[in-house]
Amino acid sequence: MEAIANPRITCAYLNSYVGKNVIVVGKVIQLRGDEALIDADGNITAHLNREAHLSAGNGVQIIGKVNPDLSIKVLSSLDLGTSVDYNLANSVVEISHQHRSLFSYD
Amino acid sequence: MEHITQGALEAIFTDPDRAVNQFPVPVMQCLHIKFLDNKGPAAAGSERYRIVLSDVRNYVQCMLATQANHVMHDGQLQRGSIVRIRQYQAQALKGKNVMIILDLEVITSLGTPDKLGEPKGMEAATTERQNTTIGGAGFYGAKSEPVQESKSQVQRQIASRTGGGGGGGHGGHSASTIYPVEAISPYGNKWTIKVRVTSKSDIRTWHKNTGDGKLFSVNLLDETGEIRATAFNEQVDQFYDLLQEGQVYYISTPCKVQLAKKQFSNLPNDYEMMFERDTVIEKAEDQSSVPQVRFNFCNIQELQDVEKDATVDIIGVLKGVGDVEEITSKTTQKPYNKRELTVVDDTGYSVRVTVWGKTATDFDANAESIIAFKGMRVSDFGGRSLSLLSSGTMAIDPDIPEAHKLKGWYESSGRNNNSYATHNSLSSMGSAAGRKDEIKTVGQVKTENLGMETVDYFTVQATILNIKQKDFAYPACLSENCNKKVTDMGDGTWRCEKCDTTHERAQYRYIMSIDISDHTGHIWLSCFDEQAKMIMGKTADELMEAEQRDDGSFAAAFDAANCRKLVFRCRAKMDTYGEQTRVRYQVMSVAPIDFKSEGHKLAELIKQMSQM
Repeated sequence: MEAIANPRITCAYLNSYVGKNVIVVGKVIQLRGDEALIDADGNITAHLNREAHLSAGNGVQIIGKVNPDLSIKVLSSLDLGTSVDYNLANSVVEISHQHRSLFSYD
Repeated sequence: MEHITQGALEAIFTDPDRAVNQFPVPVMQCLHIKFLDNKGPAAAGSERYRIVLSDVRNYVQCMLATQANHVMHDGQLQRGSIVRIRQYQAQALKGKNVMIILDLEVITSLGTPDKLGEPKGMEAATTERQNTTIGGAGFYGAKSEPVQESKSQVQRQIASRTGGGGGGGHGGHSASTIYPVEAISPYGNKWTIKVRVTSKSDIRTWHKNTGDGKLFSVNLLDETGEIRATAFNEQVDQFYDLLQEGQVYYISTPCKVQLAKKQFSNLPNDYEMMFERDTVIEKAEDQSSVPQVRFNFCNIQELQDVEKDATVDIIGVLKGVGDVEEITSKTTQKPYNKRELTVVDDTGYSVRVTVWGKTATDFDANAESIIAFKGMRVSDFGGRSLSLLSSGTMAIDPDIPEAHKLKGWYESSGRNNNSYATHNSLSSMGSAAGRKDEIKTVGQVKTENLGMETVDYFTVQATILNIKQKDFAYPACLSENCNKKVTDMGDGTWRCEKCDTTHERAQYRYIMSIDISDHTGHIWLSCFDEQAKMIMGKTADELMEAEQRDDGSFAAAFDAANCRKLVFRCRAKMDTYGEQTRVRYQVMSVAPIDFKSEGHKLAELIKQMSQM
């Protein structure tokens, strides 16, 4: 197990994790070739890798590195289908940041 | 500056009609806040705030009604805040204009800027106000001199307390100024209120060793609030016939004001009144300027935050009507009529409401009509349910804005909604619907000794640790509805004693023991056929065959079922097994976890804990 886990974030937290690996759960708004627009409480541009097969409108969990321009270079993606509760996912992000000491983020 | 309704104050005090038209919701800046310390006898309760509001052109002294105190408690209202005045009363008190703020909303997005403009104090337009007063003599007619004198005393007294408590009504009837019910307190003021009797009780008598007595009580209402008043002994004779339900009266001191005995009243006022011999009660000429009923609605979703035995008012759409039932009270042997209704509202929640007596038997509202209930007791039966108090009232399709709003909501989305959330599992985070449904951890099941004294039902979310592989099923009778164990006759047939028949084969039914665990501990439950089938994914017959085949599929089946996390709804009860009496836990039903709703409940719980 790694000593530090990848934090789950939403759009608002991108600033704090530039250069780090993060996990984002969001909805795919648009797909444009190698790029996708993901809504995770705000829009995030994701640069996809070869294996990513996303569908617009579906939920997706992305693990990737945050670029200086606040886009994400995707290392792994997971299609979550249509019945994702985004409110719940966002709550998880907020709560895990409120109680940082319980999560080994940094 | 652009948000503030400049000129509103001038309009309010010189031309109220124009004020209502032009400035329906005045926006002002709060320049100053002062907390009035009540150095009065005993009573806690009335913390009053005096604030100065400015509309840039003028400023005025105001009293914040206690019902609006929450903006102080929340810390929202500060010096400099810009506020919307949703409800107010403007009065002239001996030359000074004051306002009582009944409802105000702080526009937090505008922050707390420094004093805007150079507002000047409002000049009181005394002449106008007094023209509308009815002359003292004319009004009180036959009343004796002393009363009139005390009235003018009242006026002077109240006037000398400008800014404190607010003294007048809208157009000042009679020589004394009318107090808002909101402002009644035990602090020995002299006051007159103009109120409508919303309910009058019957005369009740009591007999004790110390003596006999009689009393009756009324609920009194004006635009600012409600208060209960009681008359004892001689005052019963004095006032019982005078006070009629639905009529408006002027009631003046002397009258005792004391802390309310909440158990006898369903009103939210901290105080209640007791009539004295010299209390003055007169029927008002103008019956219309006092509201008929005042509701303080709670929406159904919020009910879960309301404590058991509290009193609330609700308004909702009637979704279901039960039949009238007659039940006899076990304690008093008296028969009662009751009827259960289901009411929903636009928070997406539904609640069971019980009405009694005549309200139940005469109930004839149509389904989908809007019903407003005043004076409902909250109980935690089935999570949350409501019961209409004998002092409560019910209004069908009332002509109030909330009713129209609900009607609109119901027409558009409410009607089609078939699944309303209920508070059925309220004691902690519930997931399954249904009555017998308290969520417990394994630890709680043990420490609370569930099942030891009575049969207890609980729901637990846990992971299967182990499934007993021996004796997991028994051969059962094949006959319909008969699940009795059949005996192996040795020649391949099975005999059932109960049905007195023999079958060629037996149907195996599960009688499975499983060990489940959560973060607080583990316990063994027993499952019957239906639940075990769901857990194992196979019928008992199939599993028996797999055992006999002995090709590994038997063990595999158990492995697959193991370590699954499920929601178990269980019954705990004492069982005598030979000589031992132990609590046995039986599984009533098993369900997979609904992660979404569980996730939300956890988030809620975390939020609540963070706030503690």
